[in-house]
Amino acid sequence: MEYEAAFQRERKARKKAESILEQKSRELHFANTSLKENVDSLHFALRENKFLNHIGRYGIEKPKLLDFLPTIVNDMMRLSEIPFAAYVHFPFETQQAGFYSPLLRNPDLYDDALETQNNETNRLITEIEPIIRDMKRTHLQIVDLAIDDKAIDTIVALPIISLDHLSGIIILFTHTLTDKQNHVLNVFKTGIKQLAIIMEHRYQEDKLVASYEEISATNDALKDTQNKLVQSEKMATVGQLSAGIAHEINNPMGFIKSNIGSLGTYIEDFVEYVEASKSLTEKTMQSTDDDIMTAAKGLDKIWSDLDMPYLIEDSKNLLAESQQGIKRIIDIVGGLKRFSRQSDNKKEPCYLDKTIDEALKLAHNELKFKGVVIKNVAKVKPINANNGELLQVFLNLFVNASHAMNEQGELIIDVVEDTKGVSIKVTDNGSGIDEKNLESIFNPFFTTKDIGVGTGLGLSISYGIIKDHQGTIDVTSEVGKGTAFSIWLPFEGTSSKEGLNE
Amino acid sequence: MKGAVFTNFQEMIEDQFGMECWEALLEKCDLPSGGMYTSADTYDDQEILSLVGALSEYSELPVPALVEAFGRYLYDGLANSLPPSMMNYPDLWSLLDAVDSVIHVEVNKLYPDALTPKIIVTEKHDNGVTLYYQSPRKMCLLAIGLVHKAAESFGTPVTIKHTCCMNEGADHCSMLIEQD
Repeated sequence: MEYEAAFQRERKARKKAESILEQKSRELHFANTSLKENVDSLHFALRENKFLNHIGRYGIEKPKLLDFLPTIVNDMMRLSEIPFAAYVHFPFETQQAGFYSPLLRNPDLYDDALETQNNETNRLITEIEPIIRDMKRTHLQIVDLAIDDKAIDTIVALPIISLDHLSGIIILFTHTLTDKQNHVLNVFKTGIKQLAIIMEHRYQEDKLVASYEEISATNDALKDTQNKLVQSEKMATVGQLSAGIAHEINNPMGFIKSNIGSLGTYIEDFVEYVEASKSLTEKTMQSTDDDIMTAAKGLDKIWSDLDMPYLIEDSKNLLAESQQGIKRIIDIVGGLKRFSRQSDNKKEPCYLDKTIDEALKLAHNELKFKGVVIKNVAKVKPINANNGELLQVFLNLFVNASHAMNEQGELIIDVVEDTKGVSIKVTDNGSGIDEKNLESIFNPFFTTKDIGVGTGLGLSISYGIIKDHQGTIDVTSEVGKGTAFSIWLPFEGTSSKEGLNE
Repeated sequence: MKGAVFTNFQEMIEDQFGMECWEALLEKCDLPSGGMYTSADTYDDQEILSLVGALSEYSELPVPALVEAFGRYLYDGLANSLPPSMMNYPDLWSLLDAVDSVIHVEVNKLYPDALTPKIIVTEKHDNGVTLYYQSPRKMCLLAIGLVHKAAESFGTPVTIKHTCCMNEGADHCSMLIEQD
């Protein structure tokens, strides 16, 4: 009996121990469950973070939306454990067609997350698109289809709307949304809104950059125009000044030339008279009359003392030189007048290829020892111009080029036309023009040639001629590499229209 | 099989046949566990079959009757082992409904390796239910004993018709349970 009591006591103790064990097991179970829930929620939070982080990266790394969409659609599938998804992308430029993605599989659920085409889902997407465009918010639709033997009964379509433009739709295919998935949908909505805001910012930023660039370009153009304006104002002033000076010089030069001409004739007469007097003096010196002979000898002494033969000869030279000088002055004044457009300007149809050939012929003597001439002259329509003046411009450019080049010279002439006129480019590989001189080369009397070699009027006259034809002339140059003059002439100048017939 | 089944079986033998009988059965069966059962552990299914077989020989009672009788005895033991909140059912039918969805879920929480049988109410009738039983152990008779005892505890005795049985080659058992 004593043993049985002891046995029963032991039995009860065992049962109590078992019950405690069970209680501990239960507690352990709850601890485990809560731990597992924590891990799950951490795991979920991690993916949620990754999703939002990816969206943030869209703002930083600035990929194209089309390249970026697969990343977030994958994130969304993994986060929500939804098996299939697709997306549509509509570019901002509405004339560009939208991109419809194939059906994507959740990479966590499928080993081969291959994209597949599915007619049924494609049809559903095209059905949903107008609804989304109309509603502009998340759209849930009940369907009945199977993808890869998986029953699909719910479609969730999330629009991406930025700046009132539907930029895309993300479509999720799933089977009955769980509470967790419903929660995740809210995360998606927030994420996509954030994405839309980033897109908006990026758009504004791009616009800002574009308008900044535009303003910069306008500013540069303005500066350029201002410079040109200053230059053309200067040239106009110089032109007026030149015209005034030319006029003032012209009048005295007129009578100086005329007087020197007359003086020349007179001097010839004087010489004739003086030489006649000389032979008389010589004859008179033979006279027996002492008085007469003495007077004649005095006269002959004066002849010798003054060195009359030299004076006679030198006077002729002086006159000839003066006349040359006068001619030079008249030429310069004429150039000034041409530069300031004081000359007449008759315009007629002018064939540039012929004008250029003519100028090359005239410059042949200068160019023949200075390398080759390469002509890329397109057949262009005639322009309304003063042929003689243009000939002067080209001749001037060719001669200048020849002066700049050595024996390995290469003169390239390009002629092309656009809708409004003709561009002529004259390029040489000569010595080039120093940058500090480049601004001044169209100024009258500016020259880098030795005194007496150039007047400094050639380019300023060319400038005046081109301006008078409503054209433009520009120069680029690099010392040691060469110089390029670019001329543009309109088909029809506005200053004179007579004689244009094509 | 769960240790609780063995400890209850041991108690039933001791109650109804005496401690000598239990010792005799253990000696006869020569079990791997040596009969040292505790509810926290799990034991080979074969041990309970050996013990029931030996008891049948000892008591000269047929095995099916013994299994069902053990089911009746087991009910109290199992019911008491659950937390009181889990055994708060108004009638037999709601208890049967809860077996799969609540009670076995609870058991699996404590013993994740427990192979609980599938016991589901598949049909509800005016006077009873159809119960579906499926387990590789094919111990439907134990279930029947449990149901009888549960019915008695609610004061609503039942008749159970075994309309198809795994022991006769079916893939599950079907039991029509009707109130008397």
